[in-house]
Amino acid sequence: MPEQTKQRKELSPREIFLNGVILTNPLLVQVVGLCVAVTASSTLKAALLLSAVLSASLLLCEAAASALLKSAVQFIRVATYMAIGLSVACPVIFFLSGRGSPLLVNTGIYLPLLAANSLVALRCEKFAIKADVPRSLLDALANALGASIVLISSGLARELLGAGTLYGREIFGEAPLPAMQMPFGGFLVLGFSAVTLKLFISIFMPDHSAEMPFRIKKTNRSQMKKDKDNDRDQELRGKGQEADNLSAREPAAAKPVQERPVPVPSTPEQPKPALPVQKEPVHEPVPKKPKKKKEISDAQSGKNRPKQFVSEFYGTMSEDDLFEMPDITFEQKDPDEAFAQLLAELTEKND
Amino acid sequence: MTWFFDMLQAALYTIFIQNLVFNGGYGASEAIRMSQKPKRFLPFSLMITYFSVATAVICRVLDERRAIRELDDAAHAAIFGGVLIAVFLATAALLKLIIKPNKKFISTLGISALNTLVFAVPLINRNAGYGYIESVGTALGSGVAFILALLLISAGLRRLEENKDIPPLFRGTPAMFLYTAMLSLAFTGFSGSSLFS
Amino acid sequence: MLVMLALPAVMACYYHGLAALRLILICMASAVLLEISGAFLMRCPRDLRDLSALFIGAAIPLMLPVSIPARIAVTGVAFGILAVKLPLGGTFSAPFVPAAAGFAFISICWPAAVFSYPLAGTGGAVEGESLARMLSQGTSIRPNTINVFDILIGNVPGPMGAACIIVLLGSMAFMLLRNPRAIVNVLSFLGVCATMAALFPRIYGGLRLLSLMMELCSGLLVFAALFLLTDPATSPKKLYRRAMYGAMTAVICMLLRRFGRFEESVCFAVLISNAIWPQIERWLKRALKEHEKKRKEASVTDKEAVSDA
Repeated sequence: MPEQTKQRKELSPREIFLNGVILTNPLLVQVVGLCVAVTASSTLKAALLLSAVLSASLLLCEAAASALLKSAVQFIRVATYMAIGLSVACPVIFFLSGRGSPLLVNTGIYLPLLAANSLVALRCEKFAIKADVPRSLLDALANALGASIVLISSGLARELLGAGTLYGREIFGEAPLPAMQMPFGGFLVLGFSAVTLKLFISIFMPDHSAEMPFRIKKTNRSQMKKDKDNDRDQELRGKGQEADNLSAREPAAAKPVQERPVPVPSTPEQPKPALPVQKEPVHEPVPKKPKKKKEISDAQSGKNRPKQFVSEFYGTMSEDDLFEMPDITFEQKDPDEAFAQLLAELTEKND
Repeated sequence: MTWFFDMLQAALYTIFIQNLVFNGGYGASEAIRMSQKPKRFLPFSLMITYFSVATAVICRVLDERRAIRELDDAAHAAIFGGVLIAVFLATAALLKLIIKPNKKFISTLGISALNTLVFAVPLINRNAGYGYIESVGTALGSGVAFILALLLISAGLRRLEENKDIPPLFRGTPAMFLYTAMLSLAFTGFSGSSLFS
Repeated sequence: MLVMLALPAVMACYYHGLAALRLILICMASAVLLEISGAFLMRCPRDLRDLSALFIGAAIPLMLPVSIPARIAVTGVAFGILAVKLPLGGTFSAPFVPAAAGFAFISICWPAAVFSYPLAGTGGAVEGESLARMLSQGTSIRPNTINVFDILIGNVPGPMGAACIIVLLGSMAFMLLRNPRAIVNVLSFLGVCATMAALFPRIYGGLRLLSLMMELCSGLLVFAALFLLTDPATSPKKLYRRAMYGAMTAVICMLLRRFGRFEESVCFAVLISNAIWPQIERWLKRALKEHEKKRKEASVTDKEAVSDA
């Protein structure tokens, strides 16, 4: 990776903190760790307990991932996060059950489930294993704070509306909206919280994008076919065929993919890319196109059947599925195609 | 045939009456995030079903032992969690040896194994006092409930994407949450059913 | 639609007096206010001219008993408008029927109040046993215990605007004249409900014809078929798809009636149907497209064969 790109992608501690708490709020923007948010955090007490356990396991996991697990195999790492989560949650359950706390009844089986929370795995794999310990801790703190704010406000709203109480004390004689205690109420509160966050960003942080797009990703056969066509083009180019036709594209082939600017959609019907708040770009894996193409060509030639299965199964997405953010909005064009389009536009202008 | 109907009953309960995703919230984030990738619905759900069944059966076998059965909730959570981790590691290692999958496959395997839906199944089975057959039924049902949730959320996502009348403030994740809330509300009509009482 | 709702509203006022009128007017006024304030807060365009706010405001109280406190009915209206209609795209784009969502919401919040129906003419003082509850309990119902004519004219405990079947049939006739395509949804829905009621009777003794009549006349079945199933935003456009949509909702509705949580679950069935239908329609379109493609390919091959010959 060129040094310049590396520098551009570095995030300051302030940015890490703002991203974790507001801009890429784990629950409202990254849409992770919803299980406890929609069900167990139906009262303020439960929300406080869950927030504390979640924060502790996130801090421990990110610290461990950053300090010890960088060189470990991925599946060992992911299993370790869950083991750490269990080591935090189980003593809490033991302590609460020893005291016969009613909180345990409220949180039910959701407390141990925090160990399998997708938020922990996502942050560790997306951030901690690529950063140093202090930055990982800061990220963990920011994300824990972001998640806790949502959990606690959701617990507060749901307890007030669903039970008419606040921290166990009666506020209204009768529950205003009893259904808010159900998971349905949790989703509803999250929906309106996401709107509030969006409003907050657009008012107080106008430099950042408040968009939270959520859309079907094109990982279908047509895209695979397009990539296969590109492969075929490259093969033909290699053999020296269609030299005249392809001469205009040669510079594009010679130019390394990484050095090209991010293609901006030029056609009006394409959605606008999000503003440069693309959260934590430092940890976005660079698309490894050549490797992918090799996989497909291997699969086509029938050299490696299992790999063919895997590549068909996963389409041609270059980014890691598990740790992909839902709010990625860049519509990455095929570099060759983008270059050809640019060339066509320039030719038109010259004419 | 009684065993089959017992299993079907437990599975139906998990799919409709207490849909694990909409009425329990288990695996909700995985369902919402995965709904963006329709091509992977079936394989992902199959992975979830496999891990659910394997974990549920092993946990049930362990729970047969008196020494384990008499342990408290915390110890059970730790043991069941350990079983899930062991099943995942064994599967990942085996697959790595046999088909040499890429990093993406392993990470998807990770998310399909170590999530709240799969981990919840043995805990639910223990709380409900289910036997082997019902445990397997719940585990199978969790996979079907997950794919049902994926299909419904994905269809909603497509509709929301095409819908240009949604106010800008609600576009994206807010509308997605509200849509999921409506799905959860709709499935509440089944809860508390008299079917298995 | 609003004109069609006038007939059941008149009957509700006839049976339950000013209490019914007051409830309907409060809900309609609240609906308009909520629509205006909600649209302002959510920064979305508002158009009161489509009268959908008034429709939601009138439909929800008509599905409720007259004895219900006004705040519960207004909560249902508020939910339909603020959580479904406005944020999810408005009258012609919302993926769920707002009135059905509003009713479903209040029925999970206050099931006791929503499903306690007073006897007509008692001003809400005496609670009666609705047909839907009798069916859900498998109670023996015979023509000598309840007068069939009373059932048809709505002189039985039930939702204030949905109990009078004759008036709803009048609304259906009006719909046939004004919007004949929408009647396909209604007929397919009622047809499948009737078939299932006859095949799987819930009444003691298994009298099929009586079961059919009781199922169709109880609860909100006909009302929902007329006013919720024909919602312009969620109903399909093509006739055969309308029939499929109606039939699917009917199956879900009858399953929910038999196995569901509440004695009347048609609104939940409409919501589930709203959620499932887009996916089914997508599969249907894909299947038709492939079929069309194959047909074209076959015709091209035939032509080539003929030209070769």
